[in-house]
Amino acid sequence: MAIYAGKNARLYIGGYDIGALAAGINSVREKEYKQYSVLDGSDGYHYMPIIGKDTISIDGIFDDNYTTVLNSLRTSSTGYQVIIPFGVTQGDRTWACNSARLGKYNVTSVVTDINKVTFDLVVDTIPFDECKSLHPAATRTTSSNGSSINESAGSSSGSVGYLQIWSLGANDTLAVKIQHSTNDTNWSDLITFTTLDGASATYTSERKTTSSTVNQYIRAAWTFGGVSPYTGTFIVAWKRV
Amino acid sequence: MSVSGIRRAIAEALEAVSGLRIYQTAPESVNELPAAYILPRIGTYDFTMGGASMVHQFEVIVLVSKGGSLAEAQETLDKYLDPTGTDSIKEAIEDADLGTDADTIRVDGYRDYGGLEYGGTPYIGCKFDISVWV
Repeated sequence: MAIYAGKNARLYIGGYDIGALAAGINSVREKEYKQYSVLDGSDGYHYMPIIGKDTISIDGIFDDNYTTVLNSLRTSSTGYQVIIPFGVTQGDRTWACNSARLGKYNVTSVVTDINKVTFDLVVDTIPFDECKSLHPAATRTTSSNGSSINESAGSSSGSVGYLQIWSLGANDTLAVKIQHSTNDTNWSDLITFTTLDGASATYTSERKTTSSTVNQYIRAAWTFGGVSPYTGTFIVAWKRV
Repeated sequence: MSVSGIRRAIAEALEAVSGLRIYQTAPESVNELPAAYILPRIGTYDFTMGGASMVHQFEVIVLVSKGGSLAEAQETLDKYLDPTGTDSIKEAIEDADLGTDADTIRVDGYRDYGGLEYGGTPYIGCKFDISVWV
């Protein structure tokens, strides 16, 4: 059993770390069921699952430093990737979706309290993936790899990986991979994310899938290029299908 | 972002109240009156995720001399209770320059108006409750 303290949850939306704003996150995985009946002698309805309808609600403090962030999320014509780790340690449960849209945010002022903000997002197209944190959000300055996660066994139905980079040195490039291994010693690439060039962008997010064999051990690896010293801040989440 | 920094900011703000002797910390003895001293009472950590956010609840205790008439002591104390004005404790504290020590401050109210004892000496006074968000 792994119990996580709420204070260790984090919220990363489209290249923004919103955790310092959030007092509560309500991530909802919802699936509707359509009722139907057949002449099979049953007394009750049968229910057929329909597609997912996931949402995210955030309660937080109204911090003027985040007004620009919320406005950019609200006015965006495209959805933003959201990663919600429920803990800060590698391997901790992490929900992720590649496209969420900010539908509403409101500010509540009560005379006896500080101003509070609430905002609601809808998960677009692909419902939440229930992942593990492979590389908790951190700033790296050298090429390296994370420690491995032992998944107890391999599988053959593929996997899903998420990357969100929200800062990169202007003279740096950063290539992030997810690697797998049968023995925790010899590693091969499982997912290779698009290399980000800090000269043209300091933020990217990507969701990539694989559909074949996934070995027992998993880790993140990252390689800097360009001009040293390097700096990049990113998170990697992953799930076995 | 420190308790002592907030305490200092409150003390400096209270200097706007004319004639009030301010002690940043609980004094060994109170030699000048009216006087006020500042104590942190309750702290609540983590009101947001991933930050160093917290709420401090401070108390400012105001003491006035019990010498002379009791009515005179109460009148001296009463003027500090006004929500606005030159003698308002609330207005002075909420004008505090918190710098980088806190984000916002609010005087929630006052309580325990009446006889207060400090260092074995009886006074007339009251306590102001203050919330500070960091």
